[in-house]
Amino acid sequence: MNARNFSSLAIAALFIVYASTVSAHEGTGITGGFISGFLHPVLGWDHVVAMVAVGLWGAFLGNPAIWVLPVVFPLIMAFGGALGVIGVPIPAVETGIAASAVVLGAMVAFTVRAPIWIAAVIVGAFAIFHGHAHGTELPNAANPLAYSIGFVLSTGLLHLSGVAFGLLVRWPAGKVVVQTGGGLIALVGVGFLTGIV
Amino acid sequence: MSAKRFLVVCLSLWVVPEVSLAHSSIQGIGTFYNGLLHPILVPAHLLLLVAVGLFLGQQDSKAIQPALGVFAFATIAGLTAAWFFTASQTETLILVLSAVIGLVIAVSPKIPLLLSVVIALLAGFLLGSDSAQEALSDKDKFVTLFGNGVAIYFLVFYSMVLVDYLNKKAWQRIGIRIVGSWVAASSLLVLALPFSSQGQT
Repeated sequence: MNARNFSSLAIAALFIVYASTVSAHEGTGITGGFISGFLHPVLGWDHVVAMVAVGLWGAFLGNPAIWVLPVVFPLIMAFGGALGVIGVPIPAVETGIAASAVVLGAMVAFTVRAPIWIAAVIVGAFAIFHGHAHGTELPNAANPLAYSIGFVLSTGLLHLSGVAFGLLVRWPAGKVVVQTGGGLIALVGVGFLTGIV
Repeated sequence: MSAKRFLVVCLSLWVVPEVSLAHSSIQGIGTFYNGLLHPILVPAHLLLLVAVGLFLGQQDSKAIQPALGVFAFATIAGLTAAWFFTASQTETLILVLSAVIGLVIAVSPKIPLLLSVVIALLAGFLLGSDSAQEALSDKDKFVTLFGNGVAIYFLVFYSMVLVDYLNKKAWQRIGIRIVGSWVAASSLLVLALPFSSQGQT
């Protein structure tokens, strides 16, 4: 081995043994559980667009849908989540989540004024898919209750952001903006369904 | 089995001593502050406290006063019970009660005074009795449990006053109901955990 190779090897060895703090796996305890739960819906764009669409549609339909849909969703989502926790399989969960963005986005884009019970059934049906996806992660969470609180809170805040945005429908130009938003959500959903996004 | 015998068996099972693994104390902040922070640092307690506060805030002022009085009495009774024994499986009961109260907040029906008082009684006693500090004794134990009681009562009181203040406009009432549904959903999910093949408690 010549001197040049030896020095390269020595430098490589030095870097290997160089001690540094391991930053991974900080997500322990209550804080870790809460943060991982809170980020779970936020980091999945398919979840994000569908949740915003729930709020948009609720705002579009007006009272009582504006509060019924954000109340129905987490409760039915908890049922779907419980199925995920227990291990009851639901076929095509990811497809169901992507379809929720397509359907709910289209409802907003085409200003579908469904009766409140039909809107609740549609939103509730999709909530099962979203809940199942979150629920399967729950048993592995650092703190299951903190994870659960985190992801329910995060989901609810996404609904409220959709409701807040949807309140623009009070103005004619705002209605167009909200409908465009719904259309974009539906398109993103199609992208998830076809695998383009 | 007679109702009396069933009650005795239930109470006996409840007071079976076992090691308390949860709620480790924070070093260096003293016993009082450890007790004060306990309900905030235990997610199940915080969830139930918020639920009770929201629930009482939704009620008429005629129902709030007796319910708050009963809650204070039940909390003291629960903390007294925690002095003598460590209750087991209380967290499950706390989550069941949180889920029920969350659903009631979301639906927001007209609640009879007696039911409000019963909910306050159960919540106060469960929160107090689940605050056992078996590693402590005598004065330290008393001070910690006292801090616990102060935090439990004031967390419920402040969240109730906030909701009572906010319970005026339609969108504020809607917001309270939505938060109730969040409380119910969070509790229900964790209640499913014992049925999981990977379940942990």
